Amino acid sequence: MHKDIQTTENKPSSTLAQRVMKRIRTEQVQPASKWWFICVEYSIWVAWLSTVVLGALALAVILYVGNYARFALYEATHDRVVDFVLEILPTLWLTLFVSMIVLAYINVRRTKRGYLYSMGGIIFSSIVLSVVGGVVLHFFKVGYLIDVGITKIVPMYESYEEFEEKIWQQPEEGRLLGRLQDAGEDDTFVYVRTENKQDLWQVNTTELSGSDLDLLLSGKRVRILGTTTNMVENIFYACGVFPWLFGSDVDVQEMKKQRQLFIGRMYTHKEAAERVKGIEREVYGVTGTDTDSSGVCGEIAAVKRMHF
Amino acid sequence: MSHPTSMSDEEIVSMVLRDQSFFQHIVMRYEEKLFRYVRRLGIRNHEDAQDVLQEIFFKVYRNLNAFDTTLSFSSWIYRIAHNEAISFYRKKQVRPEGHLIDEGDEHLLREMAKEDSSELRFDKRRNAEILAQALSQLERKYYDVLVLRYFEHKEYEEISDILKIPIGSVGTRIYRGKQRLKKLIDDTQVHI
Repeated sequence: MHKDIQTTENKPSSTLAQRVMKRIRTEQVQPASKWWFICVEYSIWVAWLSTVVLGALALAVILYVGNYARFALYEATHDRVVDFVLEILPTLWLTLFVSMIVLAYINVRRTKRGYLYSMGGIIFSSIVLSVVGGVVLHFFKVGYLIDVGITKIVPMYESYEEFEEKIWQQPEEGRLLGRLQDAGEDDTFVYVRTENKQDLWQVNTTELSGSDLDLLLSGKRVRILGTTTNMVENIFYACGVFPWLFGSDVDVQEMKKQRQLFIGRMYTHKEAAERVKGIEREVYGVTGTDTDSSGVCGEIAAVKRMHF
Repeated sequence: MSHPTSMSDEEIVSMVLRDQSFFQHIVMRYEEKLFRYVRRLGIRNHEDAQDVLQEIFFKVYRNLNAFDTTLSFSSWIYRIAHNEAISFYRKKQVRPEGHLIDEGDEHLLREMAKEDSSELRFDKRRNAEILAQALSQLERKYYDVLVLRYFEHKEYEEISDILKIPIGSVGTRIYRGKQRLKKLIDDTQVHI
């Protein structure tokens, strides 16, 4: 039996060797199980995979918000594009995405051979994997589902859809979000009910195009851009009607089309207002301060913010 | 069964997993090397070094199943020794007590010079005291790689495995470490 061998390396067993062996025997220490180390190693890889998946989920939400923001009618809601970008910036998701990349790096470095990989290589590969995952998830509308789903779990969280609802339900700022309640006799005045306060607004449709009026009369949820002529009696002057484009079935082409229609509509109003001013100059020598109803839309903030 | 003296580290490890008494051969094979190593890492007190050494071997035994056979056992045990020395400083809440350079180590430093004569030139006047003083001022990360490379004669890959840093970083640290050491030696000589 080998236990009897007291010498090795051609010298007597050292004091240290004796002390170590005595301690091992006294404390009845056994080498930790191989399975334990295998489990630890796998758990680190699972943690790494989780960070990549979470990073991909965060990116899916960022892509969803970014995609909507790309075609948002921001001239109708914000003075400057930078204000709009800062307001919609998905800080939480960007922070989560960056945190997951950092955690992915830490996890890889904690694996047995993780130290062999360069920092740049690990971060780059983690970003690439998260981006690929994020794009795939975004393709399946997962970003939208997460953004909307979280509001049900965390009431304090404001989804991008809620943000858009909030900024489009501000009649005092010239924005209404609601559905047709009742059409008037000749469609010049219709009644629209907003969804937040359930207010009923009388909407003047004089300057609306035929397609805008059709959309309004369809009874679908719509965004109405215009100006409030009477806050006490809830009278709203409509300059454009746009569909409410949220949900898992909205496609990019539709959003792009609506943005182009919005720009076209604003251009038409601007042109009309300039035409009216030109006529006023010719007839009266000066432009009138009392804008008649055919020039109201040319004076709304959104038209003035447009850069054609 | 062959005698432990003719067995590789890895073979002894597999024997230890069947019969713990084989572990004493691991202890005796590495005792002196690791004692010198932990002393070079700054544990100058003999008793402290012995205690750290005992702890190292105890940990090695407990974690034998964690030994990755794709690594060399030597690298693995040096890594544990390195970590244990760092833990020692942390527990004691002290800084390494200077870096121990024996007079006999001076020739090893000359080896450093030979590898890159443009970077480091040693003459007889540069004695162990100057070198020790310069090394004690060197940043830890450079000191660690230089010790492993020139005092423990480890290859880049082994240093990478011991310190858990990419091989590229080993090369960079050795190069920069030598440059800084040269500057420190020059500065030290100016002040003498």
